[in-house]
Amino acid sequence: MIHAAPVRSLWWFLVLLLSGAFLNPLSLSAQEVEPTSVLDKPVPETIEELKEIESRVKKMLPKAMACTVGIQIGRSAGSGVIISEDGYILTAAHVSGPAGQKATIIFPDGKTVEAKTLGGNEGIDSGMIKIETVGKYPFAEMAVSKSIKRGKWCIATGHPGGYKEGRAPVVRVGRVIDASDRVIRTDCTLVGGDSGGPLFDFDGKVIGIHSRIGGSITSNLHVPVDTYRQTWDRLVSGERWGGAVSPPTRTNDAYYGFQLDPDEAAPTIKRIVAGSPVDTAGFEAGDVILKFNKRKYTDREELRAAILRKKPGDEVTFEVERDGETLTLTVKVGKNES
Amino acid sequence: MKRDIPHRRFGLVVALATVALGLSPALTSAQSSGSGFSLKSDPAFLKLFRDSIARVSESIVRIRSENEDVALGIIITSDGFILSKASLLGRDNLCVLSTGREVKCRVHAVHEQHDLAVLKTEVKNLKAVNWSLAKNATAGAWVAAAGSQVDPLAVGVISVGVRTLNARELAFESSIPQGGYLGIQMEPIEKDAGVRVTQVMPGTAASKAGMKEDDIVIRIGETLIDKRERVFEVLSKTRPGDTILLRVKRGDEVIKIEVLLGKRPATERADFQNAMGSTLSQRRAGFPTVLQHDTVIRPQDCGGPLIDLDGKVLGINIARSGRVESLTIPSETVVGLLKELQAGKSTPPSAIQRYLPITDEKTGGSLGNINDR
Repeated sequence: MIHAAPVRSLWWFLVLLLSGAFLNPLSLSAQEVEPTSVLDKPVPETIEELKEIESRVKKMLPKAMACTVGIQIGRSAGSGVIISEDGYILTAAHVSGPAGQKATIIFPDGKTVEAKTLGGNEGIDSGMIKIETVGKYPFAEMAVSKSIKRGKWCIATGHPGGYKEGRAPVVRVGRVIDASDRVIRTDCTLVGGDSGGPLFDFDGKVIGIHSRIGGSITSNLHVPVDTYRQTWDRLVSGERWGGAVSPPTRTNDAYYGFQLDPDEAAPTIKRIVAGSPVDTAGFEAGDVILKFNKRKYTDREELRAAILRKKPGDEVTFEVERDGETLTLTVKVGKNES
Repeated sequence: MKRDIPHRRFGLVVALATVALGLSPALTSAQSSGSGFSLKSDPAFLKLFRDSIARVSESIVRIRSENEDVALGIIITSDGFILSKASLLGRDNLCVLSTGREVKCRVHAVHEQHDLAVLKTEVKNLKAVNWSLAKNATAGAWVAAAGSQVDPLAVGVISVGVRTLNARELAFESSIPQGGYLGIQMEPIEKDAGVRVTQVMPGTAASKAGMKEDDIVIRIGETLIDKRERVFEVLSKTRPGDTILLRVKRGDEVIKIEVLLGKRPATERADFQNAMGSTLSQRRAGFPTVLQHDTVIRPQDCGGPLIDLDGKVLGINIARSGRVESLTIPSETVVGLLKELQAGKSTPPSAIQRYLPITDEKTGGSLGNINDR
């Protein structure tokens, strides 16, 4: 563990506080400053403190779980959280999709009600749904996310893998790693099905909505809740905005000679033209493209654009997976004659 | 699995539903690499669990096979019975006690569905574990995966309390293609039993063994193949590197094809997201009763105990099953199986074959042998 120099002056402590962020949670020595609770400490220090955290989590969970819902829209499954008694639900834009669709809301006990999708901001990935069946629903309050800092304790619930009969919303506890007004990153692990589910603070208020993950186990990204409040009217009115830029069209004549399988989510070679640049380089059908010119691409359109930006005669490398092995293949980009 | 599965595009997770946790703007490499600051990997945090681990550490063993650490084990009786995760074990197992002493051990009985094995060693006066009820471990409780070190292997919280899967879910999980990989696509045949090979994927085990399109697989080892699911069932009991003997109808002939099974690619199950950021256990689904938590354990950490803050043993860690989950078989379930396992009864009886030392080529292994009739 890194031991930073103890803070000797109160003035310095005030400056750090006003700067709005703990740049390094270990920069304040626990001896110099008296935190108000275990939740403010950089690291809990005793088993009693761990038990306190555990007891606070258990206290807020029943209510938090009660308003965590599964969402089914057509063939898509995700999660959401009810934030008003009459049934407004916060979720991810990529879960709710276009406005005006029917959605089925699944409560922890398996009970379902019907709902309708409202608006979404595709740029930040916020979406909203409204329950149509009239009733009084368990709901959570929204927190203020602008003051969220690194180190803040949080609890994630949701339905990873989709709602499963008899399985309550799945609980994870962790802390905020990074926060901005666009995205919150935590070490609460997320996976498909969690999208749209809630990130709570220890008071049971919603601070974020699960959005996406990255390669690392600590790359778990959530939409900060403030955006829902700030764009409430637009979301409720069914407006959809902030969409991704459309993919670039082909502008040159680079030729490779492979076809990707449209049914595979990962870029997988389906067919290779005999004698083509990729055939010469040793590609085989079934190869999965992991990297292009040493860069990983999470977005297939971006990968396609990058590949097509090359010119005939360029030498490019592909890292592919074949049979559980990783290979690097060098391709001399050909020219599209037709 | 030693290879780290790299960053991929987000895709389907569950069979029917798109779970798209990520059609949003691509992450830059700065965001997607590195571990960030997580308390769960901070040594100052992990050491808080040392006292709890210490209460149990004498009952934990490391199991080695072919000169590698393959699993952990839990001492269940003082006269030498040890519990572990069956599918990690080999034919020749060595147990390393907490004192560092190495003792030979042999697999005594196996329960295939729970993937549990009881081993026997000739050492006496061992410290047997005390099992505690897991049913009181509710979501949000801190838990730690214990191994042979003073610090926990991983810490986290209970995500879902003890749960017994309903019949439909268990059947679904058990039917998910697992185990060794052939590399073929198949279709059922209307009248006769068997499956027709519609495609042999290039570079796969099936391709290397000489399987061809239109081959009809009628038997694998002792098992008659009546449908595709039967093939998945047989394969789920194998591991990459196993050899299986297929009986195949090609044209008018029936021929024997021996296949050395390969590793199942992550792409086949389209479960990229679950594989992101950690390595999953090969056998990771189809356990009837489980306790789920968010600790990040490695496949070889399975076989060790899950403990709470009081050092109570809640069960045996059985799988790293996904990005958000690791599974433990609760103490109550384990204790219910021990009587038969200690008595040497395997379920099914043939399940123990793959763990017995090969004394005679003709009797070794339950999956068939090239010298077979």
